This record gives sequence, structure tokens and C-alpha cells, in this order.
Amino acid sequence: MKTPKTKYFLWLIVAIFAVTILLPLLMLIFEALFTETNFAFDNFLTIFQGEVLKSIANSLIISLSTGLLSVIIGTGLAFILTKIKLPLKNILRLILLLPLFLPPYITSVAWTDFWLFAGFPKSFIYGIPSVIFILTTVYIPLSAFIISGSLENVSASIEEAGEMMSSYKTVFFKIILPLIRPALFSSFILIFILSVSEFAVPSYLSVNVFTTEIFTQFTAFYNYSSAIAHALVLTLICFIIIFPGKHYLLQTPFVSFGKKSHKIKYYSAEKPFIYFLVYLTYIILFVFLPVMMLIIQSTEGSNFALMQSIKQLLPAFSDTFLLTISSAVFITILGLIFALLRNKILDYILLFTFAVPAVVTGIALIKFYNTPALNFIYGTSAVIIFAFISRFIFISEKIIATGLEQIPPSYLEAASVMGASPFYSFKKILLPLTSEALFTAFFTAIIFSIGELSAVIMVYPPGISLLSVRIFTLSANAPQNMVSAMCLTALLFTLIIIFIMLIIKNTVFKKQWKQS
Amino acid sequence: METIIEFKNCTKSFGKNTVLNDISFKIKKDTGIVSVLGKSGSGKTTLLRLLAGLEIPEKGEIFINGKTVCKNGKNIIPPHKRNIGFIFQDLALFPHFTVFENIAFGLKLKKQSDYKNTVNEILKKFEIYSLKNNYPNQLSGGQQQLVALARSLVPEPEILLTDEPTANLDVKLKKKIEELLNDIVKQNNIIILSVTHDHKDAIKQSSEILMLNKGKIAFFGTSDEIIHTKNISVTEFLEI
Amino acid sequence: MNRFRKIIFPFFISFFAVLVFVSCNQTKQNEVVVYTSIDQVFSEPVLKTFEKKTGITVKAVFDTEEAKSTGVLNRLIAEKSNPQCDVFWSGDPMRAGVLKQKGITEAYQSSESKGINPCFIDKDYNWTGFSARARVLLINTQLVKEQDYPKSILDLTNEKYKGKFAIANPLFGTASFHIAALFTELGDKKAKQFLEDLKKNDVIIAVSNGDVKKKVSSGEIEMGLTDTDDANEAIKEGAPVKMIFLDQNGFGNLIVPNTVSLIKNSPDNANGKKLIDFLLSPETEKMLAVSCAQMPLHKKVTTPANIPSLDKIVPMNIDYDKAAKKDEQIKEYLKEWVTK
Repeated sequence: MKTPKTKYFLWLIVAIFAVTILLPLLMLIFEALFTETNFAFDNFLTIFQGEVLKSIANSLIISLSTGLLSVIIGTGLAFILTKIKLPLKNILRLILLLPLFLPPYITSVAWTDFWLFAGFPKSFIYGIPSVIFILTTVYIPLSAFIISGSLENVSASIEEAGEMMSSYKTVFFKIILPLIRPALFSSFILIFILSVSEFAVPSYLSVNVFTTEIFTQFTAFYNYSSAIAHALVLTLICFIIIFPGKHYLLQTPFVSFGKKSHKIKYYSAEKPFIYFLVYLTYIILFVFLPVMMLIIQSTEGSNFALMQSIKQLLPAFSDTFLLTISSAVFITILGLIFALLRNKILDYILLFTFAVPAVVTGIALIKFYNTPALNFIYGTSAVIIFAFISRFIFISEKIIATGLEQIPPSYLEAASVMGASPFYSFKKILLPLTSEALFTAFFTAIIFSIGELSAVIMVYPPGISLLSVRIFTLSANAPQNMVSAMCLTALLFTLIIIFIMLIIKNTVFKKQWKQS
Repeated sequence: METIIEFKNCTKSFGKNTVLNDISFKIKKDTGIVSVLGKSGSGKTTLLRLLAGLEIPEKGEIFINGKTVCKNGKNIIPPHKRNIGFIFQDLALFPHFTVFENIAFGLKLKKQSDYKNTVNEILKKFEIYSLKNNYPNQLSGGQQQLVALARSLVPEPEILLTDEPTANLDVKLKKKIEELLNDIVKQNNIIILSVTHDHKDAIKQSSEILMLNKGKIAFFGTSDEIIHTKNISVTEFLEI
Repeated sequence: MNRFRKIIFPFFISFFAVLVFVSCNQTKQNEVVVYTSIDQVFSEPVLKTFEKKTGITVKAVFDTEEAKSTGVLNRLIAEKSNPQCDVFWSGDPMRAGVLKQKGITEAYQSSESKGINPCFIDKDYNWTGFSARARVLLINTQLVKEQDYPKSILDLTNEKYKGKFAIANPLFGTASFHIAALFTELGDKKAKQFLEDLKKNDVIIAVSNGDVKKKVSSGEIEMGLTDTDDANEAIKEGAPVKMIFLDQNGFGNLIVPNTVSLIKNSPDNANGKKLIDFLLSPETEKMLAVSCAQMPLHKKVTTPANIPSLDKIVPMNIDYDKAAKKDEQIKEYLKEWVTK
């Protein structure tokens, strides 16, 4: 499908990406390693000592268990969502996603308040188990989403063929699980990366993790090179852990866009309502409970915290809306271009931009763009767009690549035999058939960008107001009811955007061809 | 009679696996249906794809109507300028287009102003006019096959390549499609190169048979000749 | 050509459209850029008042003092080569001290600083203090009886308070300044011994001063060291708490003034100075006294009754510059102490 000319163009875009997003990161790392006067390689050695080693161990314990638990529970939920006939499935699916739209820090405030209220011992609350618990509840929606997409793609005939020979239980463990292994791996790795770089939750629960170390180097010592050296070690650890599963992460689906050629096989459970109850219990315990805590907290005190918080956050709505949407447009276009190129090195580069801690991304952008000549980028919201692209292009590219892979090559060949130019078949065949993937990528980019804090707080230009930043800075000394109310407001804002997007999706992409 | 298709010393491999090894043959203009037989993996589909220009042989030359279409690992004439129709094994109907849009796709590209009439005609001829606004996933297997056939025929190709067009069809539909193909050969004077598993049908239907074995041509001749051949690999395959 | 028209062109057009759109947003007006680590709830109204008064648009980058923030200070350091900011408004003199040492601020002696006690002003005029907070002990009155209140910070090593006392992470914010001040006051040896004893007494290390406040007001813990503004917030919320000043018969209680600094080579130095003058005025001190219980440094600023007056507190007498330097020296030690 690629003629040399289009290929040059695509690589030109890659080059622009490399200069604008990748180069700042590389330059920062280079500077930290080689040119800062007070830094030498032995700084790396000091990293691996005593308490720091313990914090690395804590980080690994937390993120590996969080990844594992999220995948196991996520698989269960995904199974119920895809393989059992349930009422109100789409709504149930959406509700499951709610914890993703709340800042993890706020979720931990809600949970600890609940535990204190319920009389749990402090030794339980302030410790590694509770960090794992909270992070798991936060990331389960992600794994459930990815895995359920993969489950949808398991062809009914394969399952039925298995069922002719053995019980459903055997079929599930011996046939279905191996088939969705790529999804299990990629969701594990994704959650691993997200939780290893999570800082707010462990620090709120007084657990020392490796990211605490990075932040300490930044915030208490103002020692960039050391902080960046630490961040590099973190990135390296991520890569080492990812390495055995890299094939799955880079080459296989994140989200599956069901092929239309087969039907989903439902599991004919004897008592489907039991599964429904399990799902409902999960939602009530792990989704509604923290949200309820927030609602209760926000109504404490006499003043109408919710109305007040909407008023406080109002200035941030339009900026956030415009910036996240325009970033998502860029992220989607870039993601499509990268996905079309299918280049392994490019895959690793994107993984790198994703695995680098967000603070480092922020500092890199400042160092690179804060020059008089580039003030038109640094001093404006363009730098925020760059930050979002750098953080989330990997996820969107993966989603789009998955969508592209699911188009049989014969479609394009057929078009080409009939006289379609590569561009014509791109426009008429590829683009419409990947529209769902593009939409999902766009959507995901918006959701993640709304929640991004660590990178944008470093670079947001004076006078621009972003929801995540505004909540963070406003909540510093605000009473708990205001903080909870602001988070509810943000949740509401996100939900409204989701509904707008879903409406657009349903009107613009009318897909009769998908309903058989 | 003029030669329409010529393969000259063509070799195609995928990695270490040589699928077609130094193949040469000629097909004349009014041959009609040529069946390509052979075991799975003998290179049948690759042969069609080379002719269509979807794959390029590392060595050798292919001529269509005397013109070199590819030579020494380079495509000289791209697929869409070879005036070839191709029916894929999976049919490759565009799922997001209606039956009408699928069939009109090639015509629109040729900027035919009255493409609507042409499409409607063929829809009627194939007795699928009532389905014209349906999407592929709303059709039965046989109906999909008819749409794929119609789609590849409307641009009036000189050569039609079909990859197992009647596999998995019931006898009645199979007959119908075979009749249609025969009509087309007679009326439009085109060459059909058809990959098939069913050698009995192939012998009955086609005027010439090309048999591949391990990347080489095991047999090339008329259906009469193949019945009387003493070539062991051919008789083994045909189980005569 | 077709391809160019259909993808490349729109792509670049939209890209530049966004750039132009955002650039237009920042056409230079009469404006001043301020970075502040003062909570937005309190600093924003002050800045708005300045806008109304002078017609100069204030563009602010807000931050918090919480440990989880990497903060405006890092941003100022990273931006050193091409400053974007005119004025840095800090919640404590320590950050201003760091910037001074890194050569990021420049001297400015405001006419408004006349009424302010020189001990709250940098001797090189790189920063000037105003509205002050104090470090206080917040006590949950339901859990601790009045006769059990500690009198001195040193009492906290007493067996009586074992596991009942919290302090914010001393690597960050005012808590770190507090420890540094103790070091300058007591001397390294005594101060270290005090910290070791605290650790033996199972001191709880909270994420931030706000977290200390929350833990004490909810009764999760008996008492904790925090800032007056947090303590005042707890009282306003109706929590059963009381704040007390320590060492009133000894070396005194630490006073932490806000500080304001002018950034070297800043985009708009003149407007920056105007903003500094405004921040140092009694008017600002009054606003901050009302909104977050900060104690005015100017005399004769009328304040609400609930605000403690500096006249009635025995302050810890320290050299703020020296304490800021001490803070840097003891950071490594504190980091070890925290994780021990």
C-alpha cells in the first residue's frame, strides 16, 4: 500500500516527531549523564545502596502484584462481560471504567477514609498491601477492557470444537486462556508500567517506593542529574521486566475490534444471575464505594461544596476541553502514521517515551523548548500538546496498529487489482475499516490527557488553566469536602465528554455493516 | 493464435521456501477456462498472485499480451493496469460497502459515467438485484460469491483469476456459478485461471489443465491429455 | 499532487493553525508572570485584586507545598537560561534562599518593606518577607487533656507521647525549614540527638502539613506539628482541635514569613516590581490575615480576633539565610532519618 513517495512523507513525520518529542528526552538524559559538572557515573552506583535498594524492592513488589492481581480479576470480569448474557451490558461496561477517571491519589483518600471509618487497624492501612489494593482497583478496568476485547475475538467455532471434547472448564483453561495470552501479557505490562511510576498513592500511604526517591531528588535536593539518573534506572528496570513479554506488548492487540465474520459464543451458565451478582458486587464494592465516599465527603459541612467546586473549576473547562481534544487529534494522526509504518525500532522508541517517568518528560520539555527562539512553543499551549503526545502516543499507536492488523490484506489487494491507487484504497478501505480503532485511540488519548498531571504541571504556561492542575493546586489546603467535590466535578466533566463522544460516534459512524 | 499469458523461467520464494521454481508456460487467447491443480502448498495461489502483480518473482519474466509486466524482481505494470479480475479465497468483499458499492468500486475508479446502469445490469443478470443495498455480512455464502464474481467482472477484464471460487458451496449454487463462468467465457472471450481442489470438476469444466507439484509444473495440457497421461505424480494426484 | 492536497497539506495547516491559535493567545500585553507556592485558594484572590487595581494582567503558575509536587521551584531552576517568570512568591524563605544561591533572583528593595522588621528581609534584598505563619502544635482536645500538653518541642521525645505525634515529611516545605531552624538554634549534635529520640518515640511522618492537620482533626492521631494556616483551617471546619505555640519560655516558636523575589532577567521587570510592592503592602497582609490567618509583619494592620498577633508570641530568633543554608546541609541526613 506504500509507494515510495508516501513512505517518504510518513518518515518525514516520524522525523518531526523524533526532533520535537524524542530529542528533548535524549538530550536531557545525555546532559545528565555526561555534561553536568557534579555528576559522574558513580552516581549510578550510589543508587544501588541500602534504603534505595529497599525502595526498588517495594516498587517491584507493588507493581508486579498489582499487575498480576489486575490481570486475574480483570480476566474474571471480562469473562462475565463478554461470555455471559447480561442485561444492560453497555452501561455495566461503562460503570466499570469509572475508577480510571479519578486521580489515584483521590481514590486512596477515599479508601483510607473508609477504612478508618470502618475501624481497620492502621498497620493495615499504611502499608504495602493497601497500596496494592488501591492500585489494583484503579487499574482493573484497564485489564478488563483489553481482555474482554480479546475474548470477543475468540471464534465461537473454536470454543464449540473444544466443547465437543471436554468440559467448559477445560476449554476455558486449555483453549481460551492460551488464545488470549497476548492480551493478558500486554495488559499486565501496561499496568506494571503505570503502577511502577505511580507516586501519589504510595506516598499517601507512607510507603517508600523508587519513584519517591526520584521526587525527593527533585523536590528536596533540586538535583536534576541525580533525579534523572534515578529515572533512567526506573526506565531500565521497566524494560528488563518487559523484555520477556515484549513480543506480546509490541506485536499483539491491546484492544480488539471484533471481526465481523464470527459470532461470540456465550457461555450457557446454569445460573447466569450468579455471574451478574458477582459483577454487581464487584461494582458496588470497588467502584461505588469510593465514589460514595467522595459524595459523602463532599456533602459534609454546611456549604454547597459541589456548586462551589464547579464555580472554582469553571475557568479550566474550556482550556482542558480544547487542549485535550486537539492533542487527541494529533495523537491519533501520529498514531495512524506510526502504525502504518510497522517499524520495530519505532515501537521501542514509543515504548520508551511511555516508560519514562512523567516528571522527566516535563523537565525535558522545559530544557529543550525554553529558549527565546522557541518561546512560541514553550510559552503557549503547544507545549502542553507536546507533553500529551509524548506521554500517550504509545497507547494510541498500539490501539490503531491493532485495528490495522485486523484488516485482511486481501481487501487492499482486491482494491489494487481493481485499479485503486494506494491513496485511494487508504481513503476508501483502510480508513473506514479502522475508524473504530481510530475513534478508540482518540477517546483513550482524551481520557488519559484529562488525568495527566505530573508532566503538564511542569510546563503549563502561565494563564492557562487545566482541570487536573487546577484541582491539584486548589486541593492543597482545601477542606476535604471541597477536594471530594472537585474530584466529583472532574468525574462529571469526563463523563460528559464521554457521552458527547459516544453520541458523535453513534451518529457519525453508522455501521449497519456491523450489525448482523 | 496469439499468446495472452506467458511465464518465462519464473522463480518465487518466501524466505528459504521456494514456492515456484523456474516455471515457464504459455496460454493462448481463446483457451477459455484453465484449471490450476495441485496439492496444498504446491504454489497454486502464488501463481495467480504473480500474474495479478500482488507478488513479484525474484527471477524470470511474465508477459501479458506480449507486454512485459514484470522482470527481474520488478513490477513494470502495476496490478491495476493489467486488466485482470481476481476473486480471492476469502472473497475480500469490503464489509463497509453495500453490494452495489462493492461492485461499483472498480468502475468508479475508471471514471465511467454510466456505471450505475452497468452495475444494475450485472446485478439483474446474477439475480441479486434485490440485495443491492445489503452489506456483505447480511448475505449467505453463495450470495457473497456471486457478488465477488460480479465485482471482478464489471470492469470487463481480459483475464479472471479465481481462487477456489466454488469451495464450500452446495451443489446447486456451484452449478449456477459454473454456468455463469461458462457464459462469460463464451460471451466476453476472456481467460479464466481457476485454482481448485476438485480435479474431477476441473477436468470436466476446463479446456486446459496446469498441474503444479513441489513448485514445478507437473503437467500442462488439455483435459483429454491428462486422463491418458502416464506421469506418476499426476496419476497419483488424480487417483486414477 | 493528489496526495499532497489530501493529507500533507491539511496536516500542516491544522498544525500551524494550532500554533497560531496558541501564539495569538500570548500576544504581549501589559502583564506580569508570577509563580507561587502559596495555595491557589489564598493567592488567587490577592492577585485578582492587584489586576483590578493596576490593570496589569497577572498570569500565574500555581503550585502546592505538598511533597508530591515537584514544584515551581524546579521549574524556575530549569527555566534559568530563559526566564518566563517575573516574580516568585514563596511560602517560606528557604525556597527563596535556594533561588538566591543558584543566581536566579536579583536584588530589589521595595519602598513597602520599610515597616517590616529587617530580620525578615534578606541582607542582599534578594527576598523580602511579609505575612507570616508560625509552626504550631495542633492538638486533638478530645484525645489529650490540657495538663498533658507539651510546653516545648523537646518534650515530644517524652515517653508520654510515644506514637502519638506526627510531623510532615521534613524533606519538604515548612517542616524542613523547621528542622533546619532547630539545627541552627540547638547546634548539630543536640538537634540530631533530638531527631533520633523522636524516631525512638515512634514519630509518625505524614505526607504534608495538610495531612498532619487531617490526621489530628479526625482523631487518627493525638497531635502534630503543622502551620498556623492549616491549624486555622481545622478550627474553621469545627474539628475538636487547639493550636499551641511552643517554647514560649525558652528559645521561642518558629515564625515562617512569605517571601517575594524578583527574577533575574525576567520578561517584565517593571511590572514585576509593581507586583512585589503590592504584595508587600499592608493591604495584602490584611487580606491574607483574613483568608488564611497569616500574621501581618507591618504594625497596625487590623486583623480578625482569631489571628494571633506577632506581639504576643516569643519568636525563635534565627538568621533565615543561615537556616536556609543549614537546610541544604542536613538534607542527606534527613533523607536517611525519614526512611529509617
